[in-house]
Amino acid sequence: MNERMRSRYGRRMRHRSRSVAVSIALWIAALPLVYLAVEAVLELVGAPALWQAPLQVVETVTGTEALRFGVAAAAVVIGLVLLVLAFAPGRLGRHELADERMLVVVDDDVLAGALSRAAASTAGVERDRASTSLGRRKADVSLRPTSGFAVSREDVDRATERELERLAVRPSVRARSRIEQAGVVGR
Amino acid sequence: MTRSNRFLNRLALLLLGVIALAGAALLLRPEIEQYLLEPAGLMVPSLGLDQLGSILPIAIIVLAVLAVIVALAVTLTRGRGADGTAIEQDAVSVDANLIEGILRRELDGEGEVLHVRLRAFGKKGRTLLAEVQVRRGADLANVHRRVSAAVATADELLGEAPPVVTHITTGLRARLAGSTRTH
Repeated sequence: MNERMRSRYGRRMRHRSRSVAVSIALWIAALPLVYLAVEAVLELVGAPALWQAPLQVVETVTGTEALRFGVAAAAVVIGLVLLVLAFAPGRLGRHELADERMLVVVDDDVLAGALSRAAASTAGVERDRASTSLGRRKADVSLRPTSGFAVSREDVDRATERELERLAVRPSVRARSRIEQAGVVGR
Repeated sequence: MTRSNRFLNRLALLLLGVIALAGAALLLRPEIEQYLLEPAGLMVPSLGLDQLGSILPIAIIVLAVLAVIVALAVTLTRGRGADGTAIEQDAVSVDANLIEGILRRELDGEGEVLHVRLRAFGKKGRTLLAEVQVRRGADLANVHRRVSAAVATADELLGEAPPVVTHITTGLRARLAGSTRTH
């Protein structure tokens, strides 16, 4: 896999496509038009309207204050949501792992689980006593130690950093650990 | 991962957003004129919808047909791009299931891997997307090493090395399976 392909696929895997949003937005735009078109056809063939003729629909909406403000507010909300979707980066919670042969993309919950595992193993506690919150560039590892057994924060930091180095995560992540004050009886 | 054009998706959302805001501005035209345009000494000519008369129903029908065609085209073509042919060379084609089988066999016995699925993308020069579902709290470095070894075996058996994208993920299976304990 050449670098260009790797970079292209890496970007596609780490960002939303927005295809679903586009489909939904197009149907939201199309459905009122379909209704007006049905009314327009009925008007053209001289059949009674389902509700009102197209021009009357426009006049009713623009002529009734509550309806006018309601429809305008809905259009503003939909418009702003669509603009946010168009301009937001749309990052997915994923990172890449260095690999010469292929592109490896890993979900953040898998990576967080690996860091928790490394932290728990260093502290000598069960895996479910370590939890990791992972951002794009930062990982916060939280650990509940066993009562009566001191856990070195530096050791846990070193273990998680070593795990990150071993995996060669991209974009790079810095781990920071926190040892909770309240311990747990038992391992 | 699909072949859909991400830039066009963003552009469509931008256009639809601008159209929605323009529609809202038309509805709020009296207030916009009163509070924004008139104090600034600006006036916008009336749209004169009533003058459109007989053209309006036709214009609405044409717009609706176009909108439905575009919406249908986008919805029906969304997500396409994956199929079952992994390698196509001269008269020989290799099914994605065959490579998926090789990866499964190589990862069999690896307790942290729950499921492997392989699909092929792209027109010219197929790219393989291998989705590897793992348990929660899996040893990621070990899974990565095992998947790399499985892909190397597949390359050897196929006699070529197609581009591979591996997606290591959890999912419903992982939530149901939980984590393994080695003690």
